[in-house]
Amino acid sequence: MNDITENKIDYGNKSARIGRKLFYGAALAALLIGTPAIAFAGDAADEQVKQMQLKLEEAMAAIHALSQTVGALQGDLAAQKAMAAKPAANTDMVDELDERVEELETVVDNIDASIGSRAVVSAFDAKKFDFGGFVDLATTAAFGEDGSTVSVNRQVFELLVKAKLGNRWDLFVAQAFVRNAPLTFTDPNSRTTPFFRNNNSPVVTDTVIAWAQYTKSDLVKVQVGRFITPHGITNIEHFPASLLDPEQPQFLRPFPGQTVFANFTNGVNVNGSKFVGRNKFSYNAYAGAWAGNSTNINLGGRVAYTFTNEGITIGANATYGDRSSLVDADFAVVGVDLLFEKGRWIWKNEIFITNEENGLDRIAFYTQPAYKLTDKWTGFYRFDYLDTGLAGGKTIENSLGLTFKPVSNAHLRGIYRWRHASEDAGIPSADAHIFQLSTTFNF
Amino acid sequence: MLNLLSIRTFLSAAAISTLLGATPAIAETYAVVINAENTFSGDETAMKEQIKRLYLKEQSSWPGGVEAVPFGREADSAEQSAFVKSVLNMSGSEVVGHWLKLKQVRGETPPRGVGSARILARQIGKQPGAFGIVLASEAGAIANSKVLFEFSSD
Repeated sequence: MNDITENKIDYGNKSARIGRKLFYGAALAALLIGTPAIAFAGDAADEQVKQMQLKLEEAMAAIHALSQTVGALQGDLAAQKAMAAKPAANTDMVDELDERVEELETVVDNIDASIGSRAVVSAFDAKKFDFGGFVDLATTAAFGEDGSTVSVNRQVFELLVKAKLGNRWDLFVAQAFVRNAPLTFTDPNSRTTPFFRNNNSPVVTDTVIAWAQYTKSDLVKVQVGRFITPHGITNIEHFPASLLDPEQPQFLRPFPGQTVFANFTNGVNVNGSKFVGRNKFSYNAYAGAWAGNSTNINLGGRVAYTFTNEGITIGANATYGDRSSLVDADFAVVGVDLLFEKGRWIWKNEIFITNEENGLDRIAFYTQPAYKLTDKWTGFYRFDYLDTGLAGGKTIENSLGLTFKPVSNAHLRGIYRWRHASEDAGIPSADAHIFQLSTTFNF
Repeated sequence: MLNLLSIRTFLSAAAISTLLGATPAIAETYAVVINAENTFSGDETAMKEQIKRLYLKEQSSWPGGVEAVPFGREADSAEQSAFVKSVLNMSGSEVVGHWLKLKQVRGETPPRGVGSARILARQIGKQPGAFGIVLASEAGAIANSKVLFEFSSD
């Protein structure tokens, strides 16, 4: 760098000297050219003119030589400048390469931190493979008219696997491993039992979902296998990690049951969605059987329309089939669901009415407004009515809950539920007060 | 006369201080960049809406039918925070809730969050349906790409 500066100074001095010489030469030439001719008589005068011409020619030659020297020096100077500029360009390039190498090192570091010396898992034939799951735990205390009981009553571990089989083919499986420790009451009519009849068996291994899907477009997707019956709001969302209340509304209990419609169906589900301006239209149409009712094919579907600006989704649901493989028990269900989701509010509403060939018709309704107090805290209330059509089957639940998400992978909840069974068919009314702490960890 | 001057001085000072106080902090400008072959266009609202649907995987293809390949940036980066706020128009927890729901119902995962702008630029340049977020000042240097729209962190 110092050499370059000194060179520059040296060249500057040289340029100054050359310029000075040029100036003197030019002045002399101008003087000679500009000197008025003095007329001398005779040979002496001629001789003097010749000498002056010679001097003029010498001066012109000197100027010409000086010009060439200056030109050459200017060329050298430009070359030197170019040479001086080149290292700067090289420095920029090196800097950029350094930066890129640093970025690559960061990426490699991150990969190494994730994998280290462990084996990288790859699917046998899938193009992409995602793996996750959750653990859902609940502790419940129930205070009924016949007594009280407390239990760490539910431990669910569920694995989720998604494999991309090709550009248009996907596979999705949810496998649950459930261990229950049900609350036990002694009421002979089971009226004061606050237990949710959710998988009475102490140990359940259930393939909750297992479908393969062909995607023709966003509007046409075909699922084949076991899928969540696409009705309403809560049944479609389904998973405890997402739900404010892991105890789903009464009409969705028991978990793999068919109180109003079957929670799960084995069959074919054609579904899709399309945006209409800012709004969204979506549909599901399915045909399938239920576990335990394999000889009957049930048909059903849901259409929904979302008004994006208003945050409102309205869904219309219908299904028709036979509830039993043993007796004629045709049934039809119609229902409407309404979701308002805007700002801090999430308000879910569903109503379903059935028409039963074998037994009394059933009605289910719930409304669940929820308000996000902060990004982590949400409060909710749910009024839940169910009439199963059976003796003593009219129950109302009022639930009040507060949920907390300390991190995105954990959902903690505290819920109070007042359950009231109406007097019916000679069975007296009954109440239970239920407190539940639950948590869901997902990955 | 003195009072009048004092009032005028006071009002001027108040006006200047108000002006200075109201001057917003300089916001960084970001750009959503798409592959040069992508012909999608529209007004800014429509473009933002389209990017939101594709990023959140509510839609899988561009209106022309090309399969969308959305890219995010690292979760705690300034680019991603600005994108979530100004384009998705959502809070961080809403975005997390959205992906939680999709993960469990459809097995969907969020778009890959790319840390390096250069690696992101390479991906956008290579794939016709790709898009991502970069600093507006970086957008011009990305080969085989174009800016769909710019937005600020405000």
